[in-house]
Amino acid sequence: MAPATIIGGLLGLGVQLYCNAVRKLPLMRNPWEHVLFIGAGAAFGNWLVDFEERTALELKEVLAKREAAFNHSSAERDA
Amino acid sequence: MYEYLGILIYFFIALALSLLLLGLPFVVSTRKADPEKISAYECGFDPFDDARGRFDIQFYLVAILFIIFDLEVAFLFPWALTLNKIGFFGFWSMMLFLLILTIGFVYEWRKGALDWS
Amino acid sequence: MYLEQSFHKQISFSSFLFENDFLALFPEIFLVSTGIFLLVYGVITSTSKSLNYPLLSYNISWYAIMALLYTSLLIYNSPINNAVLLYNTLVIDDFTQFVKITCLLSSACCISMSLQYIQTQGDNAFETLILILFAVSSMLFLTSSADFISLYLAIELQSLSFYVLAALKRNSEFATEAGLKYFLLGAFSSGLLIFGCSLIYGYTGVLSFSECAKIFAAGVVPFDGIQAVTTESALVSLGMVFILAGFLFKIAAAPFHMWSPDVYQGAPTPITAFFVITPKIALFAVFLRVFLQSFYDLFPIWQTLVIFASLASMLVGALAALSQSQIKRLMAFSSINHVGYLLAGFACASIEGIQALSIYLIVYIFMNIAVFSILLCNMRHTHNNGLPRIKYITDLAFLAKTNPLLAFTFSIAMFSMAGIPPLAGFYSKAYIFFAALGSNLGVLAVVGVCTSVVSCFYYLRLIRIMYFSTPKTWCSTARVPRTNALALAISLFFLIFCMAYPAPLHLITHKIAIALCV
Repeated sequence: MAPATIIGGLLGLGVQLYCNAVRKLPLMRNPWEHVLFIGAGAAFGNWLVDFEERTALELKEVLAKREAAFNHSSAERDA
Repeated sequence: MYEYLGILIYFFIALALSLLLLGLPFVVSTRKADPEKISAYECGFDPFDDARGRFDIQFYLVAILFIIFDLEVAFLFPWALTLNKIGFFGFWSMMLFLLILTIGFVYEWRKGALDWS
Repeated sequence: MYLEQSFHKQISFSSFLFENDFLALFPEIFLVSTGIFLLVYGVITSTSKSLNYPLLSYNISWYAIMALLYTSLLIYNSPINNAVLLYNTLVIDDFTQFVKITCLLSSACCISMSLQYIQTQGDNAFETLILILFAVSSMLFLTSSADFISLYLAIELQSLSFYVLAALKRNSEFATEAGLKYFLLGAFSSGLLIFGCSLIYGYTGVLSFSECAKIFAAGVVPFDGIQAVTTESALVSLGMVFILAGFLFKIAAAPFHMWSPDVYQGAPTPITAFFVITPKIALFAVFLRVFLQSFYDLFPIWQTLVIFASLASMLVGALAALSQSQIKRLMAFSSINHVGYLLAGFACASIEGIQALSIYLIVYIFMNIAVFSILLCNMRHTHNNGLPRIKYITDLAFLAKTNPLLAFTFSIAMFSMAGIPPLAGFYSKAYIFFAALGSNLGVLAVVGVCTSVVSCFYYLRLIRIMYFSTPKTWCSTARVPRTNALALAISLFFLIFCMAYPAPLHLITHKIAIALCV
C-alpha cells in the first residue's frame, strides 16, 4: 500500500500545482489545499489498487465459470 | 329488452334537458344586437380574410397544454374502470402520475404560460 | 374468499416489487425525482417577487452536479448487481453499472466545466440543467433497457431533451437551425428505429431482447407444430437493418452523419461538449446489447454493414475535417472519425472488440473533456470586435505565448487524439486495431491506421497554429476557472499516465465485456 499512497499523494499534489499554474496563481497559494489534494490523491491511489485487486479476483472467477460452462457444453455435445 | 329501459329513460331525459337549454334563451334572454355579436365567429378570427395572416402564438400554447391534459383523461378512464382489480399499487401509480402532471402544471402556471396578454 | 386471496396476492406482489425492483432502481428514481424537485424549486424561486426574481442557473448547476455524484455513489454501492427488473423491461449487471457511472461522472464534469459560461452568459435558463438531468436519467434507463419498448422510450426521452438543449439560445439563428435540424433528423431516425422494432415484433411476436435471441437461435431448426422462424427471413433482416440505421443516425456514424457538424456548431458550447462527451457511451452500450444478444445469429448481415459504416466514418471524419476552420465543426468531424474506430470494435463482436471499444470510449471521454474545458474558458481581447470564446482555429494562435501550460495541455490532448505513442489515445487505438486483426478484419485495421495518419494532419495543424503562427490580434484567456482547471488536470494526468498503469482499466473493461457476452 505504501507505493500507492506515495504515488497517489504525488499525483494529488501535481493536480493542485497544475491548477494553480494554469490559473497563473502563485504555486503554493493556500497550502492547506495542497494537503487536501495530497490526501485525496493518496485515498484515490489506495482505492485504485484495491479496485484492481478486487476486479482481478472477480474476473478470474468469471473466467473460471465461463470455462466450466464451455467444457460442460462441449462434453455434452460430444456425448 | 327490459334491461335497456334505463338507457331509454336516460335518452329521453337527455333529449328533454338539451331541448330545454336550447329553448330557454329564446324565451327569457334579453336581445341587444350589435355588429360584434351578430358577425360570424370562428375561434376569434374574421372568417373571410387572408388565410396567411399572423395569429397569436398563445393559440398553439393553449392547444399543446390542452393535449396533455386530454391525454391524462385518456389514461384516467381505463384506470377508473379497473380500479377494483389493480388495487393500491395501481391507485398510487396513478396518483404519482397525477402528481408529476401537477408539477408540470405548476411550472407552466408560474412561467406565465396561462396569462393571455 | 376469492377477494381475500387476490388481495394477499397483490400485497405480496407489490412488496416484492418494492423490495427488489425499486431497490435496484433506486439510483434512477433518485435522479428523476431530484430533477423534478429542482424544477419546482427553480420555477417557484425564480418567479418569486418577494425574493426579487433571483438568477438560479449557477445555484442549480451545483445542485445538478451534486445529484449526479450522489447517483453515481448509489450505483457504485448498489446492493443488487445482477437482476432483470420490472417484468423483463430493464436489466442491471456489471456492464450497465460501469456505463452508468461513466455517464454520470462525465456529465457532472460537463456541467462543472460550463459553470463560468453559465455565470457569464446572460441566458439564465435554469431549465438547461433540469433538461441535462433528465437526459442523463434517460441514458441510465437506456443503458439498462432489455426490451424494445423501454429502449425506444428511453431514446425518445433523451432525444427530446437534446432537441431543446440544442435550440437553447432562442435568439440565435444558428442555434435555432441546429435545433430544427436535429429535431427533424432525430425524429426521422427514431421513426426508422421504431419501424425496425415493429417489423421484428410483427415477425417474432416478442419484444424482449433475450426472447428474441432465443427465437433467432432456434430459428434454423423447425419446431414441430410451430411455424419456424428462420433467420434467413428477409423481414427479420430488414427490421434489423432499420434498427441499425436508427442507431447509426443517433451516434452520427458516416452515412448518417450530416446533421452532426451543424448541430455541434450551432448549439451553445457547453451543450456541444455534453453532446460530444456523454451520450455515445450509453447508445453504444444498449446497441451492443441488442446486436450481441438478440441479433447474434444474424451476425454476418450486420457485421458487413457495421464494417461499411466504420470505414466510411473513419474516412469522412479524417478527410472532411481537413477543410474546417471552426473549432466546433472540427471537433464534430473528429468525433465522427472516433466513432469509426468505435464501430471497428463493434464489428469484431468479440470480447476483445468490446473491451477495446470500452477502453476507447473512456479515453475519448477524457480527451474531449480536456479539449472542451479549454474551449469553455472565457477570453480577454485587446480589440473590441472579438468573441468572448475561441471560435475559429486561428483564434488559438496566442495560446502558447499567453498561457504555455494551457497550450501544452491542448497539445497533449491533440497528440492523444492523433494517437501518438506514449499517450492514452495510442493505447486505445492500438487495442482497437489488435482486436480487429484478431477477428480477421485486417481491412479495418489498415484503413484505421491510414486515416489516423491523415487525421494527424489537422490535429498537428492546431498545434502549429498555437506555437508557430504570429497572430494579428492578441487575446488571452481570462483566469481559467477552478473547476475547468481541475478537469484539465485530471484528464491531462489520465492521458499521460494511462500507459504507465493501464491494469485497472484493462481489467474492468474485460470484466464488463464478459458480462455482456455471457
